[in-house]
Amino acid sequence: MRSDSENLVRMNHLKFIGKILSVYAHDLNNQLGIIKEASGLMQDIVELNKSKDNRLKDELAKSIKSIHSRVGEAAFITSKLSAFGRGIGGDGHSLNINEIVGELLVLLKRMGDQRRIEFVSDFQANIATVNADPLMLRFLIFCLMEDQLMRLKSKGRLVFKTVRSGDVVSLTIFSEGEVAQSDEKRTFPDGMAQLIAETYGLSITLNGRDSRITLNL
Amino acid sequence: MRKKKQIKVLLVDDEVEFVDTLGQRLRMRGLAVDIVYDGEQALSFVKKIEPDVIVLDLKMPGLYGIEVLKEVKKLKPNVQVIILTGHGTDKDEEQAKQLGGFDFMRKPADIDLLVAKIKEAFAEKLERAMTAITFAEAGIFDTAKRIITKDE
Repeated sequence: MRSDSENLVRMNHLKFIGKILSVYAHDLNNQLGIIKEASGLMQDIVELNKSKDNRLKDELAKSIKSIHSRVGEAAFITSKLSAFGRGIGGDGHSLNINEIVGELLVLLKRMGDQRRIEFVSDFQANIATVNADPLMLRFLIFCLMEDQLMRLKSKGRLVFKTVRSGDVVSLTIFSEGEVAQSDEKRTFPDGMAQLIAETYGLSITLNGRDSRITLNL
Repeated sequence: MRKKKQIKVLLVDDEVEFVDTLGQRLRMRGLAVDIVYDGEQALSFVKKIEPDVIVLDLKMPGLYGIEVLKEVKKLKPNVQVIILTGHGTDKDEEQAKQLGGFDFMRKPADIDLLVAKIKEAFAEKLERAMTAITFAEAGIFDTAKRIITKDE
């Protein structure tokens, strides 16, 4: 029988998945919007029968390039979502924290853009893998990330640093920039990060502008 | 021969490539288009030049589209606003209409439908202005003023 805290975490983890999917869908929709306009412009040029005009030929070439680039972007975002889906369905062994954070940064880039906050990754290369609940680890990182994001005024930075030290791997999320009191509604109740950590045996330290997750190898 | 008045459209969207391409396509269809890339730029623009219709995204860095709509309606109540968003919920749509938004469309939108909506919005703006002039000419200034400032 699950404890109350487990139930509370599980109730909220679906919100987390929903958030990822909605941000992703918005991003993908934007790519599709651009593709539609660029291909529409090509159609306009052809239908207006001005393709002999060199300037319009350049426009045509620009549109084609734009379509290719945006299809590539859309495919990249989708691949990260696919990795997210596979990851949360995995068994929790041999998790690469750099990959997990990288995936979340792509999927959640829009959240940073919306607040004009830059996401910066400072990953230790070839970091050792860890064992943890794959969904709850991602959920925890997201909660800490959102906490730090809400603290910042626009034009700040959120830095994600991974380091191995002995038998532990740590992820530190720290914010740089002016602190703000945000009225924006958070996705989860206050203290969700602590609750996840306590319920699923993950170690976290919270120091105002610094949040750290420590994982054993 | 008198030149037909071009409808002045202001596009507001942070997706530069999207809005630049949309702008080109609307110009090819005879509209006079200006483009800005966020809410603050939109409000600065509207203070100087009154567009006929604004096509406005919702989710932008800085000022959210709904805030821009509110401010535009305070500054220039005659300006028509069409929301064009990839993200809007039914709640956003309801709120936009309550604030005087002319219409609410979702991306990716059909260009011909968008142009039709812009023309509809402009026609309504003209009708409102002519009705107000009629009342003003008749000396019914309070009614004329109400027509100009009230969201129908």
